[in-house]
Amino acid sequence: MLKDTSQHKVFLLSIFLILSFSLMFLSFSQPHLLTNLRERDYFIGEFFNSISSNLKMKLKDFVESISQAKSLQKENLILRRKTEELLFREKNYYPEIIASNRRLKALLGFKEKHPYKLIPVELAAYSPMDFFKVIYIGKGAKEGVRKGMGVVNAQGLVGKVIEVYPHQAKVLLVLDERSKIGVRVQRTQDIGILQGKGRRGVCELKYLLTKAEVKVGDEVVTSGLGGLFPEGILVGYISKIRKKPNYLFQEIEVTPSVDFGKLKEFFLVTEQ
Amino acid sequence: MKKLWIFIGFLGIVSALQFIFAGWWKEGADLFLILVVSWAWFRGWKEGLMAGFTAGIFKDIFFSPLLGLNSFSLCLIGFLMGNIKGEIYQENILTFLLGVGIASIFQAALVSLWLSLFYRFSFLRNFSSSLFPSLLYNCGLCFFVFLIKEGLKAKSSM
Repeated sequence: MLKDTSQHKVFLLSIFLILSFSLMFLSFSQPHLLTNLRERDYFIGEFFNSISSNLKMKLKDFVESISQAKSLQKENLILRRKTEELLFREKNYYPEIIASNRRLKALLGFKEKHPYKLIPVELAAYSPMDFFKVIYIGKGAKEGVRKGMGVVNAQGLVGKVIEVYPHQAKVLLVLDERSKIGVRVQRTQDIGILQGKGRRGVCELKYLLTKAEVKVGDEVVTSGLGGLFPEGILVGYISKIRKKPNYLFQEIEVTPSVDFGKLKEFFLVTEQ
Repeated sequence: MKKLWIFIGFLGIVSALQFIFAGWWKEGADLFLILVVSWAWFRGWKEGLMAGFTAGIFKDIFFSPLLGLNSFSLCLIGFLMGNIKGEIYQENILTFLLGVGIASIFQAALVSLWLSLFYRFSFLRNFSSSLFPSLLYNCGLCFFVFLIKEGLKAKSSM
């Protein structure tokens, strides 16, 4: 019985092995057999290949999204901490600074500056007689323009109103010899008077002591003294300095920040 | 009949997975071999022999340069694994894994031998490239197959 079983086993195995070998030999001698078979099942292969490549791409995207999510999470954490820090400062630190500033100002006897209002106005005309010294603007007394109002634009101080008509006003530019404005050198806080020098296109900073340590390039701003203009409006930059021995004041030339050749739109400065 | 359908189902799944994974890495696990080894181990030599032949034919059609190449080695492996199972204690996982390892080496050796005879491929190069690292993948996957089978067996006996 055992012999029969072993024989049966060997017989069955031999059949399958011979069948396999025959297939091997057949497909070797006729290579198109396997090719034809594959072509017939081509759609199956294509189907699984497309699944494989899609799955691979999706897996890759998934892994990439995880790694991106990690970096975004890290970035988010940093930004959240920064926001929290800023919120903390806004709630606790800045009001304290503002309050302390007010306290110190009060202690020193400073007054809060009056807030100013800006009225937009356009250029009406240049004066033919005083080109680069006087201009006319398109608003007058009927629109609330008053004599002595300051005129500014985005570049800085332009001049001041010297005559008012019903619908126009005459503005004296800072370049004019008649224009005198209280100014301060921003860096050193030295105070002086700025006077125009007419057609030369520059101004002169007067009454600045020889010992004042100003230098070329320093910003000159309005001092706010006299209440005509708000404090801190840019007027120009120091372009030349001459110190004479035994003289009390130095000679300083200031180039205005405003381009007077391209004037078009301004603001009239008035009290709130 | 039920067993046949189960085997056909497994064969379909294995073919699909082998197709999918073949696009990812060429020298991955040989899922056909795992199916045949497991089937023979748990079902006996006769079913192992037939499962090996059928799975081998499937593998040859889609992945082999020669028809009958894998069916030859897989039916032999199915037959041997089924016979070994009767001789030793089959619930030992280490024996099963050892059997899978030997079957993988046997399969690689037989395929390389036929390829070197038919196409004059270098036996050693082909043998080493087809054996590593698929041997490790095969043993690793069979470990889980054994655990699943034992788990199912324990569940059905409860």
